Amino acid sequence: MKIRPWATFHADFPDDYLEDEERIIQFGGKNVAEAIAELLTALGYRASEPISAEERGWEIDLDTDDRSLWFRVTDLGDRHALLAQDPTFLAGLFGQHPAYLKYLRELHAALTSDPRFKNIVWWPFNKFEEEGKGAAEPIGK
Amino acid sequence: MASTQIARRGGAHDALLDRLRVEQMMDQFRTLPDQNWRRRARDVGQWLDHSELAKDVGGGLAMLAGDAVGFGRGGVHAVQGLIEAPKVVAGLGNPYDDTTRRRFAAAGKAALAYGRDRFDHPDRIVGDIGNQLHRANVALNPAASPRAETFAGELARNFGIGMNQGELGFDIATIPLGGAGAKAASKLGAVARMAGLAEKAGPAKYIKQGFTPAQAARLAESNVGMGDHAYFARRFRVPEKLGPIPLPKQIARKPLPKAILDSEYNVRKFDEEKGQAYRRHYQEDPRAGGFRIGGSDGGWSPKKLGLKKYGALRRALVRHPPAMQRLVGRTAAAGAASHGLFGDLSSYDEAGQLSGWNDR
Repeated sequence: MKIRPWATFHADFPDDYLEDEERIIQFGGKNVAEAIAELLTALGYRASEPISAEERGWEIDLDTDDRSLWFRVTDLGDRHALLAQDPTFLAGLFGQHPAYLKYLRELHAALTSDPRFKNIVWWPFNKFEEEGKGAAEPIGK
Repeated sequence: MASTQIARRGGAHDALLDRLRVEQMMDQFRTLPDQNWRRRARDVGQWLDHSELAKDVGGGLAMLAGDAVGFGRGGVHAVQGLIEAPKVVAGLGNPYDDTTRRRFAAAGKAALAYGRDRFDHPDRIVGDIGNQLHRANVALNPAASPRAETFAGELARNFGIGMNQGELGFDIATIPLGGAGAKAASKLGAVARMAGLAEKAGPAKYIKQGFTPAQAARLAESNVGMGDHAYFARRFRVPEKLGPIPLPKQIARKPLPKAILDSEYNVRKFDEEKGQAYRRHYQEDPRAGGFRIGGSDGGWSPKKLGLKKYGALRRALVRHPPAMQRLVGRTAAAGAASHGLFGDLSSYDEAGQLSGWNDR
């Protein structure tokens, strides 16, 4: 089973990157992360407030009865990147937890059913945006 | 390796002779009846002893094996040193341990006598250095000692040299972990930048890479951030079970304490430009995809720069915070040094006499 935890997409949201003359006040992508968290909350996930990871973007901690989960949205300027992972230490070493697989499937379904997210492509963990490695779904054979 | 040694020892002519000998041997094998296996073995042994080719190939393989064993021996010596050093120190402080104290005193006396002698005869120091260099050359360089008469002797000679090379490799490899090498490298880097030999700082290099002047100016800005988490990422959660053993609810699925997450042993911080930070993040961190340059200046794309992520091995080598490097390096260096210092005490017998060279 191939897991592709990275996604890139175009998000139809206002640009929320803020800076003044001297410094960056807020990195972009916070509103996109919040919107994805809302979609997942509607599916029963408990979501944290967005946590700043500076230039890496905005992180959301998720909880289900079975597992803690996580995603991060990065503003790339002309598009957004999303990384969805199981944050448990050494997770995936001996196979993926079923809750994580369910999470990826539900996240994909939520993004594709929302018209604000377009051109969604999923990428393998260490092959982000590498030629020929993108796929339409996060889990493949 | 074999082919270069052949060239050094007489070139194509010797190689041709060796090939003829091999063919001759094969002919003999074919003609010998099966029951003459003792004779066969003897002939093979004789051929091996006389064949430069066989000695080159066998010696090369023995040296490779020796390299690996020697590298491991370096680690073992470092660990031995760590174990032995406290014992020696404890022995020195123990009024009933005469042996250690006498050996230590004898080693000290010998060092003092050496110092006095060389103070009186400084000309001998040049000879000492020459002797040490010669010993190092013989220990490490296969061309510095004569080839053995027999195949087995040649294997043993090359294996020993390989071990010495391997152990030297281990000792050198621990230097950067100790921080001294890293500091020297960073000083060299600074000197190189000042001399214009290394990559220059400033927007110019980003314009060269294809960024607009506005983007280049942003990429040349200083990057101030929370740093990189090397071993434990901020998102990590404690598992619910360790193997079959469930962990207490108080810690299961909780993040690690901030004292661990943000400690200097887990976080690396750099004084670098944004452009340098983005490049490094992308290459070292599989969880970094790209970055927004800022404002409406678009994104920083690794694809446009033709960058590839580091493989697992390189990532494992480069991602250690300086504090952790120093800790590991000091431990290894302390082990290696104390083996060198206290290990040599075995050269002195209980009467305080030098009993011979240590095998190291």
